[in-house]
Amino acid sequence: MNNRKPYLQEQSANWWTENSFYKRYMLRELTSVFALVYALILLWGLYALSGGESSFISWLRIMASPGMVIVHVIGLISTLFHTVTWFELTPKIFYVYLNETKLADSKVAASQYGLFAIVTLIILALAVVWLNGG
Amino acid sequence: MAQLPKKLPISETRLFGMNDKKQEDSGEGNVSGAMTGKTMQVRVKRYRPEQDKEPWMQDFEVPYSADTSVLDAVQYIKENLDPSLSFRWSCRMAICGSCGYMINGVPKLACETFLREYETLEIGPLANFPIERDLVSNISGFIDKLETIKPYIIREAEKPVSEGEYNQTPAQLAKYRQFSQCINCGLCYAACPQFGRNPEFLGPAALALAHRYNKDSRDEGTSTRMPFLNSDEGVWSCTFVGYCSEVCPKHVDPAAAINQGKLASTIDYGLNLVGLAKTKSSVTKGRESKNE
Repeated sequence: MNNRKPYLQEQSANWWTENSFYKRYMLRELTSVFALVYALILLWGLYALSGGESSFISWLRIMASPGMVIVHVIGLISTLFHTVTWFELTPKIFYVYLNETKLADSKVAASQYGLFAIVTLIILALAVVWLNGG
Repeated sequence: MAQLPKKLPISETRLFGMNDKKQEDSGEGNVSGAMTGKTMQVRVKRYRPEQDKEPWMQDFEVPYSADTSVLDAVQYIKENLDPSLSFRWSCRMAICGSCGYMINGVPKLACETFLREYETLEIGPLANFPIERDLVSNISGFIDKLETIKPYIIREAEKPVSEGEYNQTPAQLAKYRQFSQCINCGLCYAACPQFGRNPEFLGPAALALAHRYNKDSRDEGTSTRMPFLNSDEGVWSCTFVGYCSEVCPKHVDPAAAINQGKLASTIDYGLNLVGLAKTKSSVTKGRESKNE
């Protein structure tokens, strides 16, 4: 007689609360939402700009409101967190071989931070030039 | 029994079942030999298909010492407290991959996990797999997946033996060696929430194995494995949680293999789009890129 009766283990809805690794993963996924929100805000600004000077100035005024400043701060923090998590994962995808030896994960990660710093400085420099009426 | 030497290595005291006196001499102990007086409450998930509707927890008081592994503990339970407890094990040294259980909610090999690291212990069968009985998971679906992805070297044409072996440089070996260290323990499947959601997902070990052969300079079968990687159950079901790599006892890093597979799948898609990948030359191309 066959007594086999395998019990199927269902994944619970709160599986991601079971350990800190899963929680960090969910936080990584959640923070991408704020990047989307910020992209939508920029699109809204672009739309306001197309409507002429007065509509753009009123958009700028909305952006300067305390609520919007808070949204921007949350957006910046979550996007930075999101970026750091992906910088951590990139060395798993890019196996770089130099002289037949694999480049250390830490070096691949460091190169991203280096590039990130350079791009940030260039953008800041351009912004300074632009603000000074260059 | 012949006279034993006064001090034996722990492994030998276990084999001979030393008495209390000898145990004091060696200064250490284990559950099947003498005890040091410390005990731990161990909760074990039980499921007996002939009488249970669903799993339930059973408590045991298990004596332990510094070198008592979780596998030792379940063996102690079976030998001394409840002989009906079922579990898989074999090598006792993290080679065979048989004794993977959920230990305090984390997939681990019981033979290399020690009671001294815990205050209390809860042991269950691997998550995401059907429970066959007690700590025994049904992993046959996982084994089928391993076979699906053609885990062997495929050549366009075998060369005659007289032409000798297929040589490989250390650099060519280094490109896949890490991914060939899998012992099929299934911990990565228990760690993968995507496999938990969708049991059809090929999963970490099978996709890492596919990557291992795709990266092998002797192999020319990449194009025959790509349909599995490209499918809904392939690499794109992975959302890079990365916990599979975290729990892997052999540091295979299946998350790396799968996500490198996404890169390969994207390139394959591009080649198909411009009509290059379906020709025979794609096999040769795969080989050339591997030999670079």
